[in-house]
Amino acid sequence: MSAGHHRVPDPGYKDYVPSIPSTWWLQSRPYFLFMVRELTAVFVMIFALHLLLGVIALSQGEAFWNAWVARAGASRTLMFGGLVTLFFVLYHSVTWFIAGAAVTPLQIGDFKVSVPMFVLGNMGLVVVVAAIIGYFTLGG
Amino acid sequence: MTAPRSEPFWWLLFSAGGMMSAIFLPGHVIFQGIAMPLGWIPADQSGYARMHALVSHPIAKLYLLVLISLSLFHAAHRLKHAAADLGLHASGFLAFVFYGFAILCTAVAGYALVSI
Repeated sequence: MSAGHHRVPDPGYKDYVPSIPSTWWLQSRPYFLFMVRELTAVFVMIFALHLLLGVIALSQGEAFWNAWVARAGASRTLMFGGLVTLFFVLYHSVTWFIAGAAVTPLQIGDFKVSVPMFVLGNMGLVVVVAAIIGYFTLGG
Repeated sequence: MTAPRSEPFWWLLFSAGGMMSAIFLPGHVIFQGIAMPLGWIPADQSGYARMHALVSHPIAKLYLLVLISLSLFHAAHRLKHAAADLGLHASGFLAFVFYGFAILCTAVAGYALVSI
């Protein structure tokens, strides 16, 4: 806290900060699923970097592009890694839409869109977008 | 522990990146993360000439810059808070490392895309 900004006088003692073990999220299922949701960001980051490396390779010329494709394809764990990444990215999508349904409850006239319906509708959008990406990737 | 004054700005990038990656990343993982490296896509479609032509379009460049950058800001913000939740001190250093990395990658992506 910046004291200058909030103009809080020094109380003369330090705040009590309770100590929480760093394994707190293993203590219950909801806590664990929360941490899984947060750690989907690791896979979002890894894949965004994969795309960034592809863009850099594309800007460097044909040899770099072929090397980028070949390097990813040469990995024997790629199939596994790609599927794991897909799982966590989809986990991010679903949990993001669940949170979105809570933040912006959707009501059309008198009809209230339920959370599962909101998530399914958005996942439908994800499928449509994936088809469009496939369309461009395969050359239309 | 009070959130810094810049928190709404980083949260906005986190939120925009979360939406962007939730909608667009699964399709890219399927096609650029699995199908293309495994050679499921014929070479004349995944080859340099065609991909270079595709990404040369200004809209494709803008799309890739926004997708890569916002996804990284989303991940940076979430991982910074996850690190704090796991007991790491949520110091300015942590924010500097995570947000700094996203800013650096955004600059690199912008430079690479402009030079395509």
